[in-house]
Parts: sequence; C-alpha cells; structure tokens
Amino acid sequence: MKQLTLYILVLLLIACKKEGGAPAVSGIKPAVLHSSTTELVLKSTERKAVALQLVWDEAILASDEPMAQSVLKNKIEIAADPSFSVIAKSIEQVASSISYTHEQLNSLVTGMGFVPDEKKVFYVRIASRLGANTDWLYSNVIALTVTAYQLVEDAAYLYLSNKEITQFPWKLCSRKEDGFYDGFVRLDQWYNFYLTSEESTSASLIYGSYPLDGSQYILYSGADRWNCWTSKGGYLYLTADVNKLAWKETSVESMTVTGDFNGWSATATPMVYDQTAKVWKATITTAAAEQWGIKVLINGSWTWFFGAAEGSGNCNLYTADGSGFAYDKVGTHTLILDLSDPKQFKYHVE
Amino acid sequence: MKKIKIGKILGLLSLCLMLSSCSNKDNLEVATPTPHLAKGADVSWITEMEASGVQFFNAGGNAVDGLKLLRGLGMDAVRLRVWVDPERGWCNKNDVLVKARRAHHLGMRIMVDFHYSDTWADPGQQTKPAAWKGLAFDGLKKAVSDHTTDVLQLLKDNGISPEWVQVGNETGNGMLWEDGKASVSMANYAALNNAGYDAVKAIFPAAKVIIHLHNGFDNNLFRWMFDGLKNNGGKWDVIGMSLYPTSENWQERNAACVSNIKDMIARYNSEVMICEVGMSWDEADIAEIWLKDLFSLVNAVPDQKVLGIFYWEPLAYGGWNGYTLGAFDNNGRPTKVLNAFK
Repeated sequence: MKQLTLYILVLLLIACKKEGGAPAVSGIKPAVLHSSTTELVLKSTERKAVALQLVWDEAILASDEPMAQSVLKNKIEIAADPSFSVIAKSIEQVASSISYTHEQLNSLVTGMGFVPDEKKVFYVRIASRLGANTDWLYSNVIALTVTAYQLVEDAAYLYLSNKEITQFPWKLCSRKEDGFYDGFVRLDQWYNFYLTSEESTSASLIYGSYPLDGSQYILYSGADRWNCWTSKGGYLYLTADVNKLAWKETSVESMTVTGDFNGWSATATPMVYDQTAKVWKATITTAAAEQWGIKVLINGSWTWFFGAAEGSGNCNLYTADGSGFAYDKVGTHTLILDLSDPKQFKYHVE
Repeated sequence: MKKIKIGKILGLLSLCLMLSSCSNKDNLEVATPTPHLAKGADVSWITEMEASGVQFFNAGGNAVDGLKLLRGLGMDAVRLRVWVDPERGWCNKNDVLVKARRAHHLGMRIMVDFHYSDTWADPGQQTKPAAWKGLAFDGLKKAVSDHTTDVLQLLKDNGISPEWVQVGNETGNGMLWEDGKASVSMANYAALNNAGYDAVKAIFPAAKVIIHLHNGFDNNLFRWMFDGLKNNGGKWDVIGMSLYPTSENWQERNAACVSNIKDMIARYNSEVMICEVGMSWDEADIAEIWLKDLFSLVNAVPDQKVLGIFYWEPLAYGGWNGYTLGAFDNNGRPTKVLNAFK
C-alpha cells in the first residue's frame, strides 16, 4: 500500500499538468503582426526579388516545466474579405516571419482570382494555438493592396515532367504565344507531373497545382505547390492557361479518318495509337486523289479535328469548321499522324 | 532492506523525470546570457533560405524555427548584414528589420553589420553601391552617414536597439574602393569610417562601434590598420576579427588570434569582438574542440575585454550558396560544433 502511494505520488509529480487543474503554461496571447509594406505593385522584371515580408511577435510561453517554444502552432491566414469568411490560403509556419518574392506573391494572388494590372486588397492574420483541443487566437488583421502582373512567357513550350522533374516525356505549346498552351499526351492514370518552362530540374518556372484540397486544376508556381495528376489517364488533350492559371484534361476516345474514300463517315476508319512510336496510324484505300482533302476527327466531332495547314506534311487542329488536309495518294496506304510536337502537328503517308 | 526500496524508488523517480523532460532543444529557457561574452550567430541568410523552402530541424527531426533553434542551443546574439540596394532585396533594411524583430522578440542581442555595398564586401571587394558611384568624396561621406542613419533609425522606430554596430565588413584594406582603399589613402578610409561612427552614435549613443578585419591571427595586418587609423583620427570602440582555421591549423591559429587580441587590447586599450568564425560542417568533431578551446582562451583574457564570438551563417547547409562552413548537417540538423555555445 505504501509502495502504491509512493507510485501515485511519483505519477503526480511527473504529470505535466496539461489537462485540468491550474494551467501549466502562461503567456499565451494573440500574435502581433507586422508587414514590410501595405501596398505594392508586383513586377515580372523583379520576379526573384523579395516583395513582401510578414513578421509577427508571437506569445512567449512560460512554464514551470521545461517546454519547447515550438509547441505553439502558428498559421498565416489569407482571405479576400476582412471578416475571413472564406480562407483563401492557410499556411502553417514554424518560423515567425514569411517572405514572398514578386513571383511567389503574384502566383498566390492570381490563384485567389486577382486580375493582372488591377489593384485589389487581400487580408492577412496570424492564428495561434497551443494544442489541437484549444481555440485559435487571432492577431491583428493587415490589409494589403496588391497589383498583380500579367505573366510573360519567354518559352513557347511548357514541358510535362515527372514528379522528380528529371524526365520530360511530353510538351505543350503556346502556338499564338498568348499564354494558352495545349498538346496531346499519353499518361497512365494518376500520373503525377509538373509543367516546367525548361527541360531542367532548375527550370525558372515550375507549375504544379494550388496546395489546397480541391484545387487540382489550378496552376500554381509557389514553392509549396503540389504536383498535378491526371485522374483520367490514357491519351489526353491537355491545356494550360497561364493567364487564368488553370489546366484541363480531355480524354481522346477515338481518332477517325474521314473523306470521300469512306463517304465522310465519322466512324468507319479509326486510327490506332502506336505507343512506341508515339504516332497514330490508319490504313486507307482510295480510288482517286481526295478532292477536298481528308480530316482526322477527334472523338467523332466535326468541330474538333485535324485539317488543312500551310506547308507540306503539316496539319492544324480546328475547333470550328475548316478544310481537310491534302491527300493525293491512290491505292492502299498507311496514314501516320504525329502529334508529339504541338508546335506543328504533322502527318505523312507510307 | 528499506534503504534498497527507497533507492529503487528514487531510481524510478529520476527515470520518470528524465522521460518526462520534453525538451526539443528549442526551449527558450536553456540559454543563459552572459552579458560580457556574447554567443552569437550571423543569421543574415535565414529569411532568404526560408523563402526558398529550406527548413531547419532539431535533433529530434522536427521542423522548427531556425532562430529559436539556435537560441535553444545557447546562442544569445545575432549579427545581421546590411546591403544598400541589393539586387534581390535580401539584406536590405526591411529584411534586416524582419530578422532583427524576430531576434529582439526572442530576447537576443543584436549586431548590425554595414557592408556599404550592394553586395558582399570583404578583403577581395569593397564595391561602392551603384547609387554612390558618381559621388565626390564629401558626398560619399554623407552617403555613409545617411545610409547608417536610415537603417538604424528604422530599427529605433521599431523599438530595437543594436548593442554593436560594425562600420564596414572585413575592411582589412578599407572600404568603398577606390576612394576608401586604406593602402592608397588611410586618411580617406578613416574619414569614411568616422562618418559611419558618428552616425551610429547619433542614433544609439550606447552602441559600440566595431571595425572588423579578416584574418584575426594576422597581427601585422591589425597593427598596420589600427596604427594607420589612429594616426588619421579614426574612431572605433571595438576591434572585430574573423577566424576561419582548418582542422589542421586551428591550434596554431587560436594561439595567434588570442596573442593578437591581447596585443590589440594592450596597444589600443580596445575591446575585441570575434565577429566571424567557421569550420567545415563535416568536421564537426574537430570543430567542436577548436571552438570550445577558443571560448576558453577568450574567457581567460583579463577584464572581460573580449565581448563575444559569432559563428558565421551556421544555418547554411545542403549546398546553400555553395557555403560549406555552416554548422548544420545535410539533413538540416545542428552539428556538434554548436555545443561550444552551451
């Protein structure tokens, strides 16, 4: 019995007093937030330079017991409205400051829907708490007026890399150099990828997805980006709009050749994908040169197809009415469609 | 028999206490500031490293605030470099304020290190800030004064008082070349230095102004420079030095450095600060012995004339800027060399 009493005494002595009884920790209070500026115009020419620094004085905790200061958890909350009714971004941070370069902040605010060259306000505060079962304490709120910049792309391509950014199996192209990139890719379902401005691990611009659940199709180049992934897999038409910071995937279910030779059937002459050569192939038998040329329909659509282009062996992607591309062979041949370089789609006949 | 039982219980009790001490090495209680001997770290890179996604881990492998981690390891002071108009903004006055605020809030002492350049100033380069290039000598002195005032006033306005201010960084041959090159005109260097000195004192009269040279073991260099400054009316409170020995020569360099320190104290009646030290991060065993030896030697200097030792950028690791003399391993955890600061 005496021993039991002693054991209980020992247990009482070492109990950290974290629950019930007198509070073991004092000094907990909301952080005080400071900002290096409250209004700034972001510049693409300064993209690697520091643009904004937020620093906060957090509560200095006191306790009779030895205690790590890191038990206090802080997160930065960013919202488009001062009441923080919808948190646009929440960032857990162990350091008591955060710094954004022009590029990082531009990516953050455009991800929030800021329109380039328009002045707009967002709000930031620090939430702190000691443990998962305690309420968050909120700092003062700082309003930041920011003008985002239009992304200027110096690369015509965006390269699709693996998760390690060591392989670049596919690429998208902005043929009009307007920030809208597209291309055809063949990926396994759930493939993880990034879109990069160069075929390099140290590419100056690496897009992943916005690091918030449900933001899979939002492009985001911040250091805390998540990778993109395809939920569909297979042969896909991928688009990435770096102005709207969004990407899309559309499954290519079929490619069919149509022309006089098959009575302009949308289904009679399917193409088959050759995974090794990364080309589409179909065998065609014609009795005469195709007077209107031929088209390759995607998913059987008359408004989404490959048709006429300038230059021999070239074809263009159409999303409205257009002419077919030249085909003057007679007899049985193999039509080969090469979509691997989206800058110029190509075909040839064997 | 009863005695044995009590012994057992005491054993159990101490075991329980050991198990229950939840120290994560960023415990703010650990550091015990010794006012006469600052245990410092130059942490000027920290905000840029954090913005690049670099994390720091305690010995337990938890990601923690790098500054709190150093504080918990016994470091009680920070050194912050200032550049005038750096290309990417890091180490400009606003960035200095962010780091100073963090350190101040943790109760750490602060040294401000003016480079008077837009980039690194060291024995190999003392390049004028781009905006100062066309200035005549009087204009250059005014620029030194104005910039010093501007940065220190910002700190003062935010309730932060640095204890030490370095006018120039590793100015073994002066600063703001060519005008302030000491080997060309010691008088010019002294005048530029004094412009900085007076500006510091106008904002923070109690702050000690440091003139900092490289190669703390090189008594000839220090005598040449401080004799020259003295003869030209140069003003300073503290003589600062860097010391970067290797694992092979540290004993000899420590001895030479302390001998130089004693000479500086005797010759100029000056206090001394070891503003920068470092040794290769992957030689931490030897580095710990070296730095403990250095602490012990400077502690033994009479009258507390040595004010402190600052490790230069201990947080740099994993190839950050190609720097290999930090005090964190490739996993971002502190190495044994930091035991010297306990």
